[in-house]
Amino acid sequence: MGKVVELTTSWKEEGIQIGLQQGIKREADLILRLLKRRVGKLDEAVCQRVRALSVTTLESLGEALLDFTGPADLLRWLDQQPPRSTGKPRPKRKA
Amino acid sequence: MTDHDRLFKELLRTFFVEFVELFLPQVSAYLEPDSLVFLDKEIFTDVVAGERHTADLVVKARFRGHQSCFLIHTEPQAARRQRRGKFGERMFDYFARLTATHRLPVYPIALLTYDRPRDPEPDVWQVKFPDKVVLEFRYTVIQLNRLNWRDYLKQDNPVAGALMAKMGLADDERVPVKKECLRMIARLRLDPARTRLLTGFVDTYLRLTASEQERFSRELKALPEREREEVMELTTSWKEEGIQIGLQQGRQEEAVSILLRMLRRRLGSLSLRAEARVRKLTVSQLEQLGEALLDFEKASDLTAWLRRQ
Repeated sequence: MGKVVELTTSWKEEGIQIGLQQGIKREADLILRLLKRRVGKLDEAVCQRVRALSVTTLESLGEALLDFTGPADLLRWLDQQPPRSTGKPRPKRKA
Repeated sequence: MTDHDRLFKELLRTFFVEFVELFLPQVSAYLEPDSLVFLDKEIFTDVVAGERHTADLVVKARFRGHQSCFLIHTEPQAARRQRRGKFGERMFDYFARLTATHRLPVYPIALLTYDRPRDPEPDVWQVKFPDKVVLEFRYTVIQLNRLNWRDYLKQDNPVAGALMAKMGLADDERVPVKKECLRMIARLRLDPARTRLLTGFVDTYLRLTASEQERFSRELKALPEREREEVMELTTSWKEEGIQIGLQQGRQEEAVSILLRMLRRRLGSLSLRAEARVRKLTVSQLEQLGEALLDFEKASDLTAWLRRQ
């Protein structure tokens, strides 16, 4: 079929929006990696709590973890977070 | 911005036999379908104007049951720019040059793909004097915006499935035509690459607004379940491709915003130049930077790290 013309269909754009949201959520993995490096091994329950954080809270955790010295710092920090508000999704990002 | 001429050309190259069957059944009666050869871009330099012209699609074919060959020259035209009469002259120009180069009979076709204007383009170009018509050059004109999609609905031809999207539609016909194009493409059961070419074509020319999209979904729901699933499946590979692109982009963007905050916090401030370089890192580079920055103490640590990438 020769060189294919590069097309962006409406369906592809729809997929990109879905992927963007999924990709943003994946960044809990990055934070978990840094936490393990910083405070040592984390048990599964703590990992779950980190994964459940909203994107903006994760970003704050990134900053906060720079000052952590042990697992207790992380637990204290998690306990200080207000319960996650429900409903409001993040605004869509432009592709 | 889509390159419209290239998109049409790819459609014709992929489905040339079907294109001839659909619009020129009389030609397909004497064309040997297995004999088609696409000639590479025929480039001519217009001596007078000094412009280079490319004859868009030139196919060499054999007459069925004979040894002798002929050429089919198809010229897709996405806009009517030319002064009236000029286009016919250009068609003749290609005809003459192809004849001179190949010494084969040439069948000229103009495929007019623009939406407006809708008045008919002439299909003849003459050279005449007061006492004599020296030349009456005739070419086939397929002017999509003057065709009625309903005439093609039952053809089950891939070229029809794509080109119905460009057949001079009224506003309220856009949704039903997109649906019919996709139904036809689903019925054809082509391989994935060909299917994508057709669905991509239809979506490019029938981009629905939000309210049209709602109507489209409603009309799809009214289809029998089996058929609805087949039509939905046509869009799946596009959507999955988009998800992969979005996923990478989302991960990268989010890792950038996390790391920039961490770097500012760690180093106090961040130069614009360093920030710009961090924004360009890949996901895996960003992950490495995340680990490395835990040990950073001053701005030059970041500069040194970036230099090593």
